[in-house]
Amino acid sequence: MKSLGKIIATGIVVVFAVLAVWGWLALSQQAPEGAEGPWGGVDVNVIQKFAADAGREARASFINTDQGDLLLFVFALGGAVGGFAAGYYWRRLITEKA
Amino acid sequence: MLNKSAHWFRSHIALALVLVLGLLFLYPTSAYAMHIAEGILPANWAAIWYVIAAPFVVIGIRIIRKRTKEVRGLMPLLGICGAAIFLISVFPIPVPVSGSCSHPCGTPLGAILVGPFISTVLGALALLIQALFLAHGGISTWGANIVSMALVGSFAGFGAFVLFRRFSASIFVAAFAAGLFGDWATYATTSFELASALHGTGSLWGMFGAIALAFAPTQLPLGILEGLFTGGVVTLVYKRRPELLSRITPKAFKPVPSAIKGGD
Repeated sequence: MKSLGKIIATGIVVVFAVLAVWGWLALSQQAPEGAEGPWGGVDVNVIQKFAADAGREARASFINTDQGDLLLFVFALGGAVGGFAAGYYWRRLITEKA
Repeated sequence: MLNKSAHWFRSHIALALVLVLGLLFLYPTSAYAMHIAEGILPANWAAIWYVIAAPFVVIGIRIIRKRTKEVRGLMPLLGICGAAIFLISVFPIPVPVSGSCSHPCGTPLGAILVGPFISTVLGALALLIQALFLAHGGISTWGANIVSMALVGSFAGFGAFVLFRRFSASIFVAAFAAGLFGDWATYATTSFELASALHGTGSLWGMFGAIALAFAPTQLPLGILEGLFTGGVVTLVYKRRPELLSRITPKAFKPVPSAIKGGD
């Protein structure tokens, strides 16, 4: 009975994954291309496109780091801090005694 | 001595790898923010999503306070989940064929490891930092982004994991399902949030369908990627610390014979 449940659960996941691949390939030609052109984020290509059609425009952030190389700096800093934290706690998790 | 050196090397290699990967993945040339940006939602709708998100965040904070006193070893897991959600949800992934970029959520993974309420709080914190400093999302749209990514991503992922475990699915398969459905549920919610605020005199469900369809070519394959990632990480953590996960989220990690034998 348990193995039947396991087979059904695995089967459901496989069916959804196959449908997702099929849907991805089938719908790719209809992928909207926004102002950013190829490889643009779905924020501009989807969210901001639909918002603009409805008369809403995105505003700059309250702390606008999207200026020059400032955004590169904060992304790199975020990556370094986040990466350090993940690595530090991962080490604690696997070495700490229960 | 040799064992000690090997252990030290393994621990530090993991730390160095995560640091380098974090730097590499977070070095894009522009902010491909996939959350709802500042100013997109009208004030009344922004307020509604804040109101919906608030109780879940408050409950999550209370649970964190309580559980950190009770469960030793929760803190490292909270640290990993917080950092992972932050990194994963600003990680722009190019999707071949579709020619667009988007990001996974990370909250289904967090929900499995620390529970959906705590994962909602971690997701909310990640979204706040991104909105404040990374031009990613917004303060006015923070509530809406919490609901879609932190709340729905966590609860849909956790629900899928528990449901699949009830069917005796292996840890990997159940976590894969959590990542897959958590990711898709997040973007379905984003579509609903946008449609409900912007449909005007048109059909709400017509606009919802149009937005969800526009997300689909990018988000369908990313759901699979999120599923694979979630399955891999949960399996790894479970193999290392099964007793910890059973204590933190007993609903998700009831001991099963296959797990005890190491069959998962």
